Amino acid sequence: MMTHEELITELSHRLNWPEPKVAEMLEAAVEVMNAQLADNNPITLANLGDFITRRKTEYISVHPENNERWLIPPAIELLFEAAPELKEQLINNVKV
Amino acid sequence: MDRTGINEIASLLSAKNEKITKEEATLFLKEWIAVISDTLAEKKAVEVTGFGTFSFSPIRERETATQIEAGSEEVPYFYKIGFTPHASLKNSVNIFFSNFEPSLLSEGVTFDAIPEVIAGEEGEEEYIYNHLQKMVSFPKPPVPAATKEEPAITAEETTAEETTAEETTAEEIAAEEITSEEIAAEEIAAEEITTEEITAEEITAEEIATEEITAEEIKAEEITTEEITAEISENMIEPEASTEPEQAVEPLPPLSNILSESLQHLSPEPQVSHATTHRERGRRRRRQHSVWVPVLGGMAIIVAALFFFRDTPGKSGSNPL
Repeated sequence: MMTHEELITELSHRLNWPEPKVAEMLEAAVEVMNAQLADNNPITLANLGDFITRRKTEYISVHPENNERWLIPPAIELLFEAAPELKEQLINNVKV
Repeated sequence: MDRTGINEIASLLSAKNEKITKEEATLFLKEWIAVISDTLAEKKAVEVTGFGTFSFSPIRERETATQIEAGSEEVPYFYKIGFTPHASLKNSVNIFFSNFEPSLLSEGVTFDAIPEVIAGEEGEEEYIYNHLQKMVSFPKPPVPAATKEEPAITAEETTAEETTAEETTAEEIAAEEITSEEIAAEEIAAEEITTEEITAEEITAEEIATEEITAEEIKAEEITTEEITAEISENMIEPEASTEPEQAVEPLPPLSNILSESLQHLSPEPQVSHATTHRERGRRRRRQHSVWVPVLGGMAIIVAALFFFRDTPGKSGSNPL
């Protein structure tokens, strides 16, 4: 798994930027995207996918063993839908 | 609702920090996306602190394994693109319902408008959108080299022949596997049948042997009793001949009648059945032995009495006491 630090190092190598600048830029980008998503504004990133929010309605969850019934409250959840370009790139490049 | 794209985010970035230009922000976001997609292609996850974790993992591996075992030429491999939001992002998105908690319902409390779902079965629809399938073909088997007499075979004919050869080899392999499995199953069934027959035969042989042994024992005992009675009858004949005709002595009943009367209470020959056990046979023998003991004792007493009370020519006036 690529960690946050390794991501910064890789971006610094590709952009030929110093790592502090890359870290500052990444932190700012994350804050902006989080603010947009908290306002329930969907984000579309080309060649990556869509980040959308969806309201999940309340429902009653029944435990299969003891038949306990729990009322689950509604919630707003964040979903990610991959772009077709990303899917095609991954399928073509992935090594079985 | 208008969606926020890379340009809008770059504008917001440059507005937030004066040191960052819009071109730099756009370039940064594009490289960030490229690094994520390249890392996912290597089946590695990418963690972005404060935002979330992107993953690309194989799923439905059992279905792939069954296809491989079946010998398919093309095998499907299934993958899933996943994104797990960071806890802070998840809470900020769900801030309006963050204070709501699940509550246990009492029995009899129902809500018509609220559906009931079995725990563990909810939330499967959104993952299907990010499922991917890749068909992987296995390397073709080597085709035998063409002979010198047929140099005019075209490429199309060779490919057609290769496909037919592959199909026939696959079919032959499958047929061989099926026949080998059938043969193995038949052998196992035959072995089981033979073992069962052997055990049944052994059981019947043992029962027959035990029956023969009991019959022989009974016959031997009968023979011994007959011999004893014969001896006794012989002894009985001699004193009868030597007695004087003057004395009117009441003749003693023959021992054979006494024996027959004593033997009448005995049960008839035991009918040995296949269900008799060793214990029952032992009990039967013990009963027979227990009956014979007093009989033989009585016979011995009678023989002794005859021996002591009969007059022999060489022993006149002998007092046995």
